[in-house]
Amino acid sequence: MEKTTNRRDIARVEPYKAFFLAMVIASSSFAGTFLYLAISEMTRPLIATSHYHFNIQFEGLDETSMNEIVNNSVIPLLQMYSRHPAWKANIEFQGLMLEWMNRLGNTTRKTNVTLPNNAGTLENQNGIDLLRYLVARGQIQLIVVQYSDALAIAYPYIDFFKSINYTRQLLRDLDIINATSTSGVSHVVLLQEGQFALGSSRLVADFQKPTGSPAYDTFLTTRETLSFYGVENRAGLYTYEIGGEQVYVLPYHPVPMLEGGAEHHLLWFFDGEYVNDGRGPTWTESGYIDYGDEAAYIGFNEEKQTNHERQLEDLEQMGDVFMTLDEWVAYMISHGDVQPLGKWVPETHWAIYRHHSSFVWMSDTRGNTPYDDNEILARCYETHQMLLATEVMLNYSRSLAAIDATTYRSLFSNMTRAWLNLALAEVSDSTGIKPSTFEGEDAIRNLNNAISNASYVRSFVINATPGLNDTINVMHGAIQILPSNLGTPNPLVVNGSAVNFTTTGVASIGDLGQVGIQTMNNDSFGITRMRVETAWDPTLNGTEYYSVLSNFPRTNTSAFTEKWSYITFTGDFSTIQYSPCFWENLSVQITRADYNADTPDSYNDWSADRYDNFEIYMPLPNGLIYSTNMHCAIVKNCTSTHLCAKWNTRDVRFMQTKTLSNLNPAGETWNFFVMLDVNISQAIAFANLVNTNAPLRVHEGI
Amino acid sequence: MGLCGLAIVYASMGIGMVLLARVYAMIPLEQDSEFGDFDHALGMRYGASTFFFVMAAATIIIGYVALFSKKENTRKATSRLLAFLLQPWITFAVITIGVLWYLQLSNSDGDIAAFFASLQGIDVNTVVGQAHYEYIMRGTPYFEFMMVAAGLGLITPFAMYSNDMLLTVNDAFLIGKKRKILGPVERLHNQACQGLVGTAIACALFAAGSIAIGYFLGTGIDVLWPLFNLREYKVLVEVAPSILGSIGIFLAIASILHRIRPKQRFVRKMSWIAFIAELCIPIYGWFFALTLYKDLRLEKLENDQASSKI
Repeated sequence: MEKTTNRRDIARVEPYKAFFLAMVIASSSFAGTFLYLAISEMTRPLIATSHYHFNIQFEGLDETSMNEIVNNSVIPLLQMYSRHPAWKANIEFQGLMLEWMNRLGNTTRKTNVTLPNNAGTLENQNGIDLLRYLVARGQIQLIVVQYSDALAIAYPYIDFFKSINYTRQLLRDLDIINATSTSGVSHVVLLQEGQFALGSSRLVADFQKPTGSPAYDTFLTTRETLSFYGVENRAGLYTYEIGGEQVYVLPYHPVPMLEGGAEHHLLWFFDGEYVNDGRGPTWTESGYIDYGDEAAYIGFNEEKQTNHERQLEDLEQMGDVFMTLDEWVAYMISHGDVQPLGKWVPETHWAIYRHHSSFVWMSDTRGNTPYDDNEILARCYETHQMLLATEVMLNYSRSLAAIDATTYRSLFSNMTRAWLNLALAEVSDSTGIKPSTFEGEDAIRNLNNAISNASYVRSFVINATPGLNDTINVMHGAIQILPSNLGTPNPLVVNGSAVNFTTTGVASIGDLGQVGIQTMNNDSFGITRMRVETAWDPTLNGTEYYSVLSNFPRTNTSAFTEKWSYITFTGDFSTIQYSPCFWENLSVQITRADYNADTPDSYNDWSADRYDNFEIYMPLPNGLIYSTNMHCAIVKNCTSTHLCAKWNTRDVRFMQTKTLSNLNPAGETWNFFVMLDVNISQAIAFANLVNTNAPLRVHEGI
Repeated sequence: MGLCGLAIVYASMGIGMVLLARVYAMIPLEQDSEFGDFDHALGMRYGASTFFFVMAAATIIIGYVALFSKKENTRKATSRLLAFLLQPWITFAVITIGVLWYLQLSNSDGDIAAFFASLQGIDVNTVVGQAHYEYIMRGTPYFEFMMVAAGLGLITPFAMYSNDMLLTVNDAFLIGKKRKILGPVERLHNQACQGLVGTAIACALFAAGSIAIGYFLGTGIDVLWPLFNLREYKVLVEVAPSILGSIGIFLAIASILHRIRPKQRFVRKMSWIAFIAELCIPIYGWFFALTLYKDLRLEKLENDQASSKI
């Protein structure tokens, strides 16, 4: 057939051919894309998990608030699940919630539960009974780890351990777990405000089920955290090994993801109260309701919960399978969607990018508490040292048979109460984003309770133990308590000391070699040369170090144009070693270049209203950060300065945006130790000696 | 067949709304938040999708009559009816209503809300009135309207071309009684120029989208993982928009030159480069590129024939 070349002929057909072809392209592209998506959506299994986070300490220990959270939020949610026997969910809260629900007993909102298979009804179930029933029915699986929603990553492991240990006992006492069944509590760990630490692996060995399998071995974190630290291999579940323990890291994401060959999504992952809480003036189908102006108090907004219930009913009709997190982890393992994490992910807190991780608890950017975060954290740390030493003293006394078993148990329960007081004071809400006045005050009140409980035990033990009584009360001498295992045959040194920190002279910044120091808003600064002396630890004995003291007055006055304060240590910090949270005797080595770069900036590089870059903040619970290249250690004295460190290649900065210093009108004296030419083992030993397991000197009146 | 293609695009968008509703239903919805009411998921699944399926059916049925009716008047009338439906006025109307509802909800004591609430006898300056009006606005399908507008916006280029072709075939016009009806070749040339502008606009929209995604990531909200990684936010904010913006500007210039000097050697070279640039933009670029290709080919033929006459 002859090819048409006449323009008129071509013009008659070509535009239509062009249109026709263009529409074929468009329609086939659209139809292909949407049909592919539709088919892939319909053919994949649909799986939902959830973790409703409840915090009964939302308003500290305000009883009205605690009651309302139980009655108007937790129980209505449980009621919703009781109406749908096929639904499963994880609910996360602290041990205190269980304790409080149990204490409320029959005063809570009541529920009539219709049993499956027309097996009748359970009448008038109170909150704790309803919870226990739903847990036993396999519908609700709890995530309960700590007693209080404490800022675990800021403090030594023993504080975390004590809190968990008590909670496990509480779970047994309330028959939520028992010798034969522990499935009511998930082995997945979720900590309030996005706290995540690979060092949580320490729980694997320390908390086990009766069968010997770990009670906790999986740790939840956000995809954002992994993305922030450059974990780019894609998996639904990751493994990591530290301290000889392998753990799973379970990332979650707010939008549906393809994981384990299924389409996985979350029914809920933030505050459970938001499912059904009524706050302030509200209009509902039945008309106007005022739930009250107080942010602290919440009512039950049935319409809100119905919205959630309808959504879940719809998903169920779509064939969605609701799994507990334990089931979901097992599903991913069985479907092979597990990969090694591949790199160290430093500890995080809050939404790492938006809220600058741990920096939120080291600052006072938007809050109105009279305390700055540093003084709350430092006081908590100081109380930790006191409690630890007191417990050592109690056990010492018992080992001498100075107190009988009954008295010991009684005193030990006092100590347990003290540790719980400390856990309550360490609650993450007392620092961080927008701490309120009452939250700081709550922390101080709980610390005073902890100290009071410990002081009672210490006095009792001193009076009951002949050697101690003679030394302190009769001869007015002193003893040194050594929580550190320094190899001493005895944890107490009577009328002497096993550890001395001796001042040997005055020094200047020039003496610190490659380490430089810069400060902002301090009114005094000094460096002294010191030496640690302990015959019991040859690796440390005679080690020289420098003590850096800088006083930061209150910056909440007009005299300060810049409210924030800092001390920066400069030098080669491109590769560092530090003790991960919960593993104070270990170290990990990381290189800044292995993480996304923090662009060069001034101090004001954090800003809530613009996109930011990759700043790494480190809690350093034993205070240590070690420069591998300079062979030097910076150790913060956590009882004076427990700010997090901002880590960059050429500097490590400790800072807070405002010094309020409510406890001491003269300001805060921040104390750091600089160790030159030491190895990492010496640095760790020293950091633990001055922070984690610091010796306590006891004399009459203390 | 072109209208069938358009109907398929509408139907695909209907499926898209069902899929979007499905994903929406999987996200934790807190009723208090502005997009947290589960009714929006149902509205998209049943309301928005139905709208697009109806549009697909209307395109087929009216288009069939417009093309195959034996009566010329019927063909012209149905052409005008379909063209009327395919014009972007529905998009503008829907987005306007949706945004108005949303603005009243998000700022329930603002001036706009106060005005419309007063028409219903509600005073938003009182706590009770504000709560009541917020409740009313929360019940409006603002999200569904926005999604319908977005879907229509995506279909607009195809709908406009179809509308144009249908009117051409039937020698009809949408508004007015008489105006110069362009021939197919002139119309193709116009469409090629419009396509360049359309692709330039698409580039600008992609650039804006890239900045938005980058900024979104930059605040640490990485809901787009694994499509985009957090660390890529600077590329999305700074690099990608520069490239897309440059292409868009080039296409806009090419469009002007192609309209006024289509036969100049330099302009034709520029148009061919623009053709390649268009191919880089998925679906829309391909759609427009094909028209440009045909136009360039026809012009080449015209040039060749003009040369042979000389």
